[in-house]
Amino acid sequence: MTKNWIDELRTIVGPRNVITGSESLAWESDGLSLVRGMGQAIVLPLDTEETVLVMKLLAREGVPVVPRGAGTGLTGGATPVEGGVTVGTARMREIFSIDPVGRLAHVQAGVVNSDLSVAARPHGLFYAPDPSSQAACTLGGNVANNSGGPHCFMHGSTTRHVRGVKLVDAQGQVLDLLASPADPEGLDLVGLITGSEGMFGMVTEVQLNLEPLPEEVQTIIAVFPSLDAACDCVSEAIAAHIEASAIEILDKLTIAAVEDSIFAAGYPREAEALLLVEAEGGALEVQETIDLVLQLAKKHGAMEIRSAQDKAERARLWAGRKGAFGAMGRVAPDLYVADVVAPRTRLREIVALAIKIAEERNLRLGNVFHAGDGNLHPNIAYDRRDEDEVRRVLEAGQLIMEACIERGGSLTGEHGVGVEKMTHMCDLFDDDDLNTMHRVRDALDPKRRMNPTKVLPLRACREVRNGGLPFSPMGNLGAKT
Amino acid sequence: MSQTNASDRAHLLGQGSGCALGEVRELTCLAPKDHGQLAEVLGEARRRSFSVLPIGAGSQLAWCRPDAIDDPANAPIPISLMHMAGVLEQIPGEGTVTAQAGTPWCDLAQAVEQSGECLPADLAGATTSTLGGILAAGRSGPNRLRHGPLRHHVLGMQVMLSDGTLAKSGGRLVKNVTGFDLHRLYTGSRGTLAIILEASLRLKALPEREWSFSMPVADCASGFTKALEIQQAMPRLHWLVLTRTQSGVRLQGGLAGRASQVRSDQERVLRALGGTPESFDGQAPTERKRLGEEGAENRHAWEIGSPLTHCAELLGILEAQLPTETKLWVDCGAGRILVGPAGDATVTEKPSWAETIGAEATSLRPLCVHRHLHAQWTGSNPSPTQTNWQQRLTCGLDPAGIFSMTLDPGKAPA
Repeated sequence: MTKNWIDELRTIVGPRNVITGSESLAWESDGLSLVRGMGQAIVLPLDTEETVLVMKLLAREGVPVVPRGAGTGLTGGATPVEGGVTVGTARMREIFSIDPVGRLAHVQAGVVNSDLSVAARPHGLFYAPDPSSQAACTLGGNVANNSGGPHCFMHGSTTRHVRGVKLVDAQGQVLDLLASPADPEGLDLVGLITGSEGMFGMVTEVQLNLEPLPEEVQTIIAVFPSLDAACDCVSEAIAAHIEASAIEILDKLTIAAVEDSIFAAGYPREAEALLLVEAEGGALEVQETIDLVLQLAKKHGAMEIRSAQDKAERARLWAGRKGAFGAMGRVAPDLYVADVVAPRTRLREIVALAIKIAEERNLRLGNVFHAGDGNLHPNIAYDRRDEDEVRRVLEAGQLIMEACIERGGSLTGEHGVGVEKMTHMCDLFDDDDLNTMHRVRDALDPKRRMNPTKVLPLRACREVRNGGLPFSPMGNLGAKT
Repeated sequence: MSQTNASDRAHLLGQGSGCALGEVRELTCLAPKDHGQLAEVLGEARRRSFSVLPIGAGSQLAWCRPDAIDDPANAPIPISLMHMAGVLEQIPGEGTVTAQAGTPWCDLAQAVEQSGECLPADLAGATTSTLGGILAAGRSGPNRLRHGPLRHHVLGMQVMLSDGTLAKSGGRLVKNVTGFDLHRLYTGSRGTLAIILEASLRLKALPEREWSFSMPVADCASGFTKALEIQQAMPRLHWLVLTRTQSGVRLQGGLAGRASQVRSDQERVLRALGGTPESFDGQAPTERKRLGEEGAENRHAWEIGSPLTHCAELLGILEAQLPTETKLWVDCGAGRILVGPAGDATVTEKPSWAETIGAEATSLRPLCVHRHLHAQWTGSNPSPTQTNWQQRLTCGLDPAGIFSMTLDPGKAPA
C-alpha cells in the first residue's frame, strides 16, 4: 500500500526526486543533529504545480508533511520526528524577476539567500536579512523561521522584508498572496505565515523587498579586556540610540576558533572579547555613528580599535564572523547553538550566567552573538558520541533558556522553536496563549498534518506541567518537572 | 432581538454586564473599566447574539459608522476602551514601549519623546486616535517610506477573544520569533478577530533635525513619476506625499535624522526637484499635522493600494474620472491612494462617483481596494482560497461571530 503512493509521487516529480531508504540518511536531521527522524520519503517538487499534486496526494493518504529548505535550521524544525514525507525546495531555484522601481524580487522558495543579493546588485539593490548560513540557507526556509542575521539590527528580521508568498496548504490548495500591495488586502496572512515554521503549508514562491545599496559603509572592530566590558559598551550604545547596522560580539574561544580556521579574519587573539560594528547610510551619519562607537569603546576600556580600510578587509572581518559556527568544528565535532534574547539592559548579566552554567558542567562555551538586538548565541562544543557530555549540553541549554526567560528575555530570536524549545513555550506563554495559537493552526490545518510535533505542545501546557509530553523529541530532558 | 438600533442594544448589554455607557463621536458605546468587565460585555453579547465593534476613538470609522449602517437592527454595538489607557512599560535603554489599547496616540508619542525616542509611525495629526484603534485599522504614517509600515514594529500584543479568553503573542523585546506572530494577524484586522488590549512597539531615535519641502506639480500622474525620481536620487527620504486639493496638486516630502546628514541630503533633494520648492527647516507644522491626520483619520471614500509600477497610470485614470473638487492623497512610498471629499469634510455617505471609481480601480489589477463601507475588503475580489482562509481564521477565533457579524470579509457583499 505504502509503495503505491510513493510510486505515485515518483510519477509526479520524477523517480530521481523521490528519495527513500538509505539515501535519505542525509535528511534525517537539520542543524540540530541531536534530534533525528526518518520519514517515509523525501520529495523534491520542481514548482508550485508539482507541489500541489504532491500535497493533494499526501492529503489523500493522510501522511504528515515536513517542509524543508536547505536543512540549516538549528532547532529540529525540518526533521521528520513523527515520520511522514519531507517536501524539500532543493529544485525550486529560480529568481523569476527583480523590479528595480518597486524594489521587489519574485523568487522560488529554494533560492539561496545570498544568491538574491548577488542578482540584485546590478540594480543597486540588496536583500537585507543575512543569516550566518546565508551562503546555504534558502529564502523559503528564512520565511518559515523569520530568520535574522547581523544586519537585522538595522533592517529587521525576515518578516519586515516579505511582501508576498505563494503557499500550498495541507489540502493542496494554492494561497496566492503575490503581487500584494504595500498594505495587505484583508487580514495580514503574509505576516501570519512568516515565522510559522511550516505549520500552515508549504511556501513555494516569495516576493521580497529589496533595499538600495548603502552609499557609505564603515566597519570597525574594538578589542576588549573582558566580555563584561564589551557587553556594557553595547548596552550604553543602545541607550544612546546608536544607529549602526550591525553590532556583534565574539569571545576569546570563538576568536581562537576563527583564527585557526579557513575563516581567519585577522582578529587579535589576545582579545577577551571583540566588538564588530558596522554603520551604513549617508557619509556624515555613518561617521557620527562610528565616532560615537569609538568614544564608548574607549570609555569601556577597549585596548585597540581598528577600521576596515577597504571592501576586502570588511569582507574578511565578516567572513570571520559568519564562519564562526563552522570554525567551532575545530574545538569539537559537534556544536549546540543556543538562541535566546536578553533584555538589552541586561546583556552582561545573562552572558555571564550562560558562562557560569557551562563552566559548572565542564563544557566549552563560545559566545558569538547579535549584541545590538540582545540576541545571544552561547555555543557549546561537544562530542555526541559522549553520552554524558550530551546530557550536560542539553541541561546547560535548557538552564540558559530558563535563566533568560526569568530575566525578561525570550526563547528564540531568529532560529525558531522547532522541537528543541517546544516544552519551554510554556515558560513564556500560558494555556490560553498556546490554545489560541492552536485555534489558528486548527483553522488552517485541522488534521495537524503540517510539520507535526513542532512549536506547540499538543495540549498547550498541560502535558508539560503534568510530567512530560507523550512524545518528547529531546528525550527525557524534554519533560519539565 | 427586537431592539431596532445599536444604542438600545448597548443599553441592554450595559444592564446585563454592569458596564457603564460612554459616548464616542456621538455614538453610544460600552466603556468597560477593566478586562473582567469587558469579558462580561462579550459574554452578554454572545448570549444575546449581538455583534460588537471595538471603535477606539472612532477616528477610523468613516462611513462604516454603526449608525450609518442601512439595517440598524444589525448594526454592531460600539465598545470603547477609553478607560483602559496608559503606558505599562518603557525601560530606558530597551527601545520599546508597551501601552494599553485605549492610550491616545498623541499621549504615547509624548511619553516616549521624553526618553529621546519616537514612535515608528508619524501620525502627528492623530490627536484623538488610540493605540488600539490605529493598530486595528492597520494605519501607518507617511514616514513608512523610511521605517516601513507600523505593523512591522509591533512586537507583541495581548487581546481578548470573543469568548473572553485573554491571549498574548510575541513579547516586549526588539527581536523575538517565539510562536506564531498573531499580533501581525490582529494588526489591520479591524476588530474582526479579537479586541486588542495592549501592544508593544519598537521605538526609533528622535531625529536631531527635520526638513521638509513642498512644490506644485502639474498633475498627480506626473507628480508620482517625479516622486519616483526623487526617491531614486535620495534613498533616505522619510516621507513623500502627493496631494490634490482644490488649490492644485503638490508634491511634499521630508528628511529626518542626524543634523549634518539632513543638511547635506536636503541640498541633493532640492537639486533633484529642480524649480523653486518651498523649503522648511524643521517641520512645516500646520501642513505636517494635516498630512499626518490624513494618514491617521479614516474619512475617505476609497483607499486603493497599488504597486508602484502601476500607480502613475492609475492616478491618471482617477484624475480623469473624479469630480475636480474631490481630494486625492497619495503616499508615494507605499502606492497608497486615498480618495476623499473636498476640504476637511468626512465622508458619511456613499459619494455618487464611488462605484465608478471602484470599477476603474479594480480593472487595473493587481490592486487592492479598501472600500470604507461595511464591506471593507471586497474591491479586488480576493481569491477563493484567500477568502476561505480569512473565514476559517474568523470562525476559529470568533466562533460565536460577534465580532464579524457585519464585517466578515467573506460574507460581505461583492
